[in-house]
Order: sequence, then C-alpha cells, then structure tokens
Amino acid sequence: MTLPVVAVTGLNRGENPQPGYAVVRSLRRAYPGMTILGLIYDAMESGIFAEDGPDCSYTIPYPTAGTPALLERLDFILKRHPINILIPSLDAEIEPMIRLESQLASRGIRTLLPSLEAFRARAKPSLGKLCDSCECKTPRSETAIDVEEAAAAAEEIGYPVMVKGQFYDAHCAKNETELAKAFHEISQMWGVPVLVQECIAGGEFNVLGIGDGRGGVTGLCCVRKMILSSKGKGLAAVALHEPRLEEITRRIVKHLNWRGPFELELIHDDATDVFHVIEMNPRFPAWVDFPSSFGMNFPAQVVSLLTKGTVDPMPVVPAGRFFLRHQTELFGSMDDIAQLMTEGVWQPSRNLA
Amino acid sequence: MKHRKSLHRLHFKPNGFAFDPATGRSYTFNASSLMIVNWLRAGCSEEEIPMRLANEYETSPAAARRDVDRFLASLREYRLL
Repeated sequence: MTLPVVAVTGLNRGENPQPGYAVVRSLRRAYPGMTILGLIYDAMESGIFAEDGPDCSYTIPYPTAGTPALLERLDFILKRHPINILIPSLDAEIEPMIRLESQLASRGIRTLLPSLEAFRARAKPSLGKLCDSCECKTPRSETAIDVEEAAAAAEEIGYPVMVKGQFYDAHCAKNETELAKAFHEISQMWGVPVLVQECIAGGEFNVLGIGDGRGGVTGLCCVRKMILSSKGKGLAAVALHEPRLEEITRRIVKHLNWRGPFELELIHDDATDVFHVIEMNPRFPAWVDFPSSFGMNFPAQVVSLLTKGTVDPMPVVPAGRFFLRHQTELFGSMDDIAQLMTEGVWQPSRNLA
Repeated sequence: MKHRKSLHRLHFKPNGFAFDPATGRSYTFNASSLMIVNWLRAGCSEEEIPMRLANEYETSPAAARRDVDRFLASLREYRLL
C-alpha cells in the first residue's frame, strides 16, 4: 500500500504548545515510513527541528493574507511534493480550510473537517444555544465589543468572571479593574467580540475524539487536568473513565453531525456535581500523542477515514495513565533559518554535527 | 455517578495511595484511615466503626467516635461516601 503524503500545521511547541508536532509523532507511530510535510508560518516553529519532526517544511502565508495567497503557495508546494491529506491544527485555520475544501480536493488534497454550520454552532458565542439543544450545561456567557459592555455583563453575571478571546486566551477577573485590563489584552491580540463568562470552581476535564460526520465518534479519550499553566493549559493530565463526560460529548457530536477532530473542554462544578461545557475546539489538542502512545491513535484514524472510509477499533487508554509536559532544547543552524526565510522551504539533514 | 459507590470504585495501593478512575482524583490514606475505609468497603456500618477503632488502638470509644466522625465528614466532603 502506498502511504499518503500528509501535511500538518501548528508545529510550534513553545510556551503555548500547538498540536501539529504531536500529530506528526502519532502518525510516525502508526506509519513509520510516511512522508510528512510541515506547513509553517514562522521559521522558528520548533517542531520542524525535532528529530522525528516533518520530513520537509514549507512556509505558508498567515490566514489573514486570505485564501488566494494560501492556494497560490500550495500550488507552488504541490509542484515539489504531492500532498494527499492536510491536517490543520490551529483554531484560526479551520474556517478558511472549510471554505477551501472543494478547491483543496480538486488539487488532490483531502481534509476531515466539519460543515461550516457545525463549526459555527460550536463557536464560543453560540455555545449556550448548542448546550441548550443538547440538554447540557454551560457557564453563563455574554459577548462584549467594548469595556463598558464587558463591565455590564460582568456586573450581571457576578464577579469573578472569565474573560476570553474568540480563538484563544482566558483571564480571570475579580473586579472591574482586572476586567478592563483583561479586555484590553485579549481584544488587542484576538480582536472582538470578547466573551465574559461565569466562573465555576472545579476540576477541568478534556475529551478528545473524532466525529465521523454521521453523528458518531470513532473513540473518546477523557482526561482530567492535574497541573495548569498560568494560561490555564494542562501541563499534566490523567486519563479517566467517567460515563457522563462521554455521554455529553456524544450528544454534542450527534447534534452537530461533527466531522473531524475535536477537543471538548468541561469544568466540574464541585458544589453541584455537574459538568459544564466551556469550549469545543475544532481540532486536535496539543496532547493528542498521549492516547496514541497507548494505541488510541486519533491522527492515524484521520488517515484511515480519508483513505479507506473506515477505522479499526482502538484500545482505550487505561484510567490512571497520565502525561506530563516536559520542555527540552532543540538545536539548529542559522543556515536552516536563512533557508526558510529566503526560500520558504527546509529539509532536515538529521545530521547537524 | 453514584456517590455511595465512590469509595468502592477507588483503586487502592497497599501503601494507602488511591486513584478514582471516574474523577481522575487521587488520595492518600494513613494506616488508621485505610483501616476504616477497608471496613466500610467490606460492608461494616458507620455505627460499628468507632468501637472497632477503639479496640484496635486501645483508645476510649468517645475519642474514637470523634476521630471517625471527622474522617467520615471529610470522605463526604470529597464525595467518596
């Protein structure tokens, strides 16, 4: 069987690790001989310098440059490398990729993405409506386009509140001063609207899966965050088997007929013993290689679904297995950076001595 | 998830470490608390425990009851009982 060439984005593993490198590692576990391309926005995306990173990396324009610029760049890359499958790993890429699906397909590039309708239905401002339809809880949320609106929303919800960007970032605000600071920081980076959300005290849980586009999932991996970074990212998490988490996830996936990878984020209200959905990310999480190490390989399932239309049953990660994020240094030469910045392509020699 | 079953679903290690596979929480129990948990898991009623503990540690039933009440309250607080 000829292995497809897979392109992956989101390869930086810095302070806020992106999922792409974990996707690459998972694909290598299942398909050691697979050719994997890295599509990067910046020459310093760390994952491309990892020993088991992509076989070759190309720079691509930022999503803000528009889809014609991306297609033009892809056409250039396709003259050098075929790409059979593309796995976008960053939030801001998903909507443009959904819009480009047919144009990518006409170039022989397959993607596993949700419909635009499903994508929008799980966006942060729509989450309340989605959870109502699926009969599950979500913290009370209001959108705000300026500080006054945010302050009014916070006053109504009651402090403390979470202030969230539309794609990323969340700050807890205990009073109006902290709220204004959080609003400005987030709106400057991620634009408006900004979300003001009820703060619920309790453990944080994530569920990883792939929707098959027909209302089902190919498998689910549930974890509880054990250590949080200052940005609320899980630096460690433990696998668990909690039927309620799976039930909520299945209801949402079925309602949306979700197609493709996702990560559902929930918080457990310790006072009422109820799970609240706080976010549905339309992509793999940065910890996707954790279940892969137990044979629950979701990125390999994307390949299987797009090439065979089916997936083989997967083992489940045993409850009590955990991951711990560990930072280390990678080494490179400025020649590599120079090549990436001037030619927009780099192939590691895997021998930098 | 039924809270009454929580204590029964904990996975215990001989050294007193316990993991809850449904919540992902872990706990550590000292020797006496582990003994009480084992009695509860074996079906012993909450009323019997102070006397058993008093016999085991040669302490007064009143002191044992105080300790047991405090411990059971913390189990309830963690939704283990």
